[in-house]
Amino acid sequence: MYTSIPKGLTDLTLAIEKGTNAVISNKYNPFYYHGALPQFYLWVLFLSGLLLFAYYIPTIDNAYFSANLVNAWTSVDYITDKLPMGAVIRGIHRYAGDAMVITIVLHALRVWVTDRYRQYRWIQWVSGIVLLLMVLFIGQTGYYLVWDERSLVLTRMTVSAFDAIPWIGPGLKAWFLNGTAITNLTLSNFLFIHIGLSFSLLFGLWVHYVRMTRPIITPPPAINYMLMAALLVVVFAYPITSGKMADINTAPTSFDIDWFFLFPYWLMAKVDLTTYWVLMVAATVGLCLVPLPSLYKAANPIEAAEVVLSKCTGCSLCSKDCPYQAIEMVPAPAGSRFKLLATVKPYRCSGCGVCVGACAFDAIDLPNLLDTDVTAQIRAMAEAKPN
Amino acid sequence: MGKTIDIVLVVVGAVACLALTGLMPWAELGMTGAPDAWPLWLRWVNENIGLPLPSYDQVASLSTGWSEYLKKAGAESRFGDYAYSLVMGLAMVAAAIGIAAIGREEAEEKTVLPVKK
Repeated sequence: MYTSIPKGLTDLTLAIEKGTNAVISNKYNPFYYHGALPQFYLWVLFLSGLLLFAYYIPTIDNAYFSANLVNAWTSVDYITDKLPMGAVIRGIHRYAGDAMVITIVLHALRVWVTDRYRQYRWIQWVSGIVLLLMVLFIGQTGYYLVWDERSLVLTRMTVSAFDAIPWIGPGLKAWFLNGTAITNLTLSNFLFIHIGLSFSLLFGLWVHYVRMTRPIITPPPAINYMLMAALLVVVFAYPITSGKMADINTAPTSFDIDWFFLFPYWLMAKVDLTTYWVLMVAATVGLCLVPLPSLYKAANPIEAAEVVLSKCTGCSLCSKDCPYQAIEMVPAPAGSRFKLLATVKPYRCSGCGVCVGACAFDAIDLPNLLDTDVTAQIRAMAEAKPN
Repeated sequence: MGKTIDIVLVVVGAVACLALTGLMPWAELGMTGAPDAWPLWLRWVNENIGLPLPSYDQVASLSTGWSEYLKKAGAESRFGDYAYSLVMGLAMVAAAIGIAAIGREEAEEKTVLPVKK
C-alpha cells in the first residue's frame, strides 16, 4: 500500500467489502462492479432520454402554434401530466443522472483508496475526470431544457461565467446561446449539446477502457434490478416537478438547487467570476495530477518486466496472458532462429508477474523479483518445514 | 443453516414479487382496479368468456393515502403511474433478493484439486 492513502480509509473500505461479501457473497457485491454501475445508469439515461426526446419541443415560443403556446416548458408539462408514464420516465431520467454522478464519485474514491489510479493506470484516471466533467455539464444542460425560471437563471449565470473568460469568453458565449441573445435557437443548441455530448461520452469511455484487457462493464442481473428499483422507488417518493415557465422579460433570482449537478452555480453565486474560474480550473487540474509520481510514495516501487533476448522463442504466451497489454510481439532481428520477439512497454507494465508464470523458457523476469530468487525462497521454505 | 436461509429468502422473495405484481394493474389503472376501470377488451373478455377479473375496491383507502402523499410532494396528476413505479420498484427489489439468494451457493469459491486415480 502507498503512503499517500490513509491506511485507516483502506482498511475501512476492505472491512465494508468483506462484511458485504458475508451477507450477499462476492458474486453480488456492488463494490466489485463499481465501474459498471455508472455505465448501467448511462444506458438507462440513453433509453429514457430517447423516449423524452420524442415529445420534447426545443423552443421558447413556437410561432407555428400561435393559438396555443407550445414550447419547451409546455412540452415538458405535457410529458409530465398527460403522457402515460411520462412523469415516471422523466423521473427515471432525472434520478438516473443523479445516480450516475454518485456512482462515478464512489468509483473514483474506491479506485483511489485501493491504489488503482497511477502509473500505467493514469490514462484511466485522467479520462475518468474528463468524463465526470462531461457528465456534470450534460446534466446542467438538462436543467436548461426544462425552460422554467430555474433554467433562465442558470442560462444567464452560465452566459456571465463564459463572458468573464479572457479571449475565448465572447466566443463561448455566442456558441452557448447560438447567437447574441436567448432565442429559439438557444434551446435547440441546448438540446444539441445535451444529446451530442452524451454520445461523445461513448468515445470517452473507449479511451477509459482501451488499456484494460477485461473491463467489467455490466453488473449481474440482481444488481441491475436493485439499481433500477432504487430509481423507481425514488421517482415515487420525490416526484419531479417544473417551476414556473421562464419569461425572458423577468429576472428570477432564486431557485431550488440539485447539489449533484448545480453546485458550481452555488459557488458562482458566492464568489466573483475570476475566483470561480480559478477554483474550478485548479480543482480539475489538481484531480488530474493525482497520479503524478511526486504525489505518492510507493513502499515497493514497480519495475517493469524485462525480456531475456537470448531465451525468447517468440511463442507469444506472455503477450496473450498479460492483463495490461504491456507486451508486444515484434519481428525478431535478422539472423534469429525465431520469427517474433517479445518486448515490454514499461509504461503499461504493472509488475504483476503473470508473464513470468506464462513463459516456459525463463525468458522474462521481474528485475526486483527474479524467478531464480522466488524458486530459491520456495525451496528454502519447503526445506524448513518440519515434515 | 445457510441453505435454510437461502430457501426462506427465495420463498419470501417469490411471494413478495407475486403480491406486488398483482398490485401493478391496480396502480396502472390509476389506483383503481374496479372492473369499470379495466380496458374495454378485457371487460369484453370478462363478460363473454367469463374470465374472473379481480376487484381492488378493498384497497381504496390505500389509494387515498398514496394520492395525498403525491399531491403534497408536488405531483399534479396520473398518480397511478407513480404508484406503478413504486410497486414495480419493490417487485424488482424482491426479485433481486430472490436471484441473489439462489446464486449465493454458486458464488462460493470452490477449488477442486486434481487427484490421481
